[in-house]
Amino acid sequence: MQIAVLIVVIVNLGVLALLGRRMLVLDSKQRALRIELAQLGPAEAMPAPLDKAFLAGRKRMLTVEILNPLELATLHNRLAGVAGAVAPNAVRAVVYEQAAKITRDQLAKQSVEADVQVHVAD
Amino acid sequence: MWLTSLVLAVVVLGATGFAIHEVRRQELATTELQRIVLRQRMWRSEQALFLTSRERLAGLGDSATDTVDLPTAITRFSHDAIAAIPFAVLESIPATADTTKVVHQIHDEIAHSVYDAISGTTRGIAGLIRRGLATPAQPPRPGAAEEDA
Repeated sequence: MQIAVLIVVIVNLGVLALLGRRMLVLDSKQRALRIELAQLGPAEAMPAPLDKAFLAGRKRMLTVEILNPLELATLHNRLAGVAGAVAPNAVRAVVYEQAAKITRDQLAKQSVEADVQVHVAD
Repeated sequence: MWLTSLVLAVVVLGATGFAIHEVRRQELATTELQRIVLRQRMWRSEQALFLTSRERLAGLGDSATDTVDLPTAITRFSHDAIAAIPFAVLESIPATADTTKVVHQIHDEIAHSVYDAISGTTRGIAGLIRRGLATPAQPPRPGAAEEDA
């Protein structure tokens, strides 16, 4: 029994070390981003007529609603059918995350700088 | 001894759970920061592009005729630029590329001939006005006053 506890403790310490390393990477990334944001500064003010022309029109967004998430999941993974029967919401979440990732990659290939996010409706 | 090991295991497990939660929180914060930086960078880039395009347009017309023709030229360039966007997208898709190229060509030919006609008319009117302004007023014809009476 004591050996089992010891193994759990050792494995956990290893996981903790990995997580600590990940925290350091994230911290350094955040610091670099904050420096970049500070260098960018606020957008320069334009003369009023130009500003009005530049901001004319309403903000536009592209929305995508996947109508067959469970079918998509089953097409790519047979086990997803079982998962869909038990936890359809979790399967939908995974499908949307994957779709967002694919959209980001594809848009980047077309030189589109896009902020692709998954919005969860109430 | 056994109890101590158990407590130690529970503490380590708790610490791991907390660390996982913290890493997740920091990952979300990093993603949010990346979004803010991207938005700020793109906003400035779009603004700079807009200002450069406006300056280029402002420098188009030099002579009087060019100034008269400028609205047509701006409309023509804007039409070309806006029409080119969907054509470019459709032309990059293999399934629609061939048909789109033909439609694009036809569209450009028709649009350019219409704009050429408008431009020609505008230049013609500008020329007439200029000639009218340059020609000195004709002296009254002898006997015209008697005919009018």
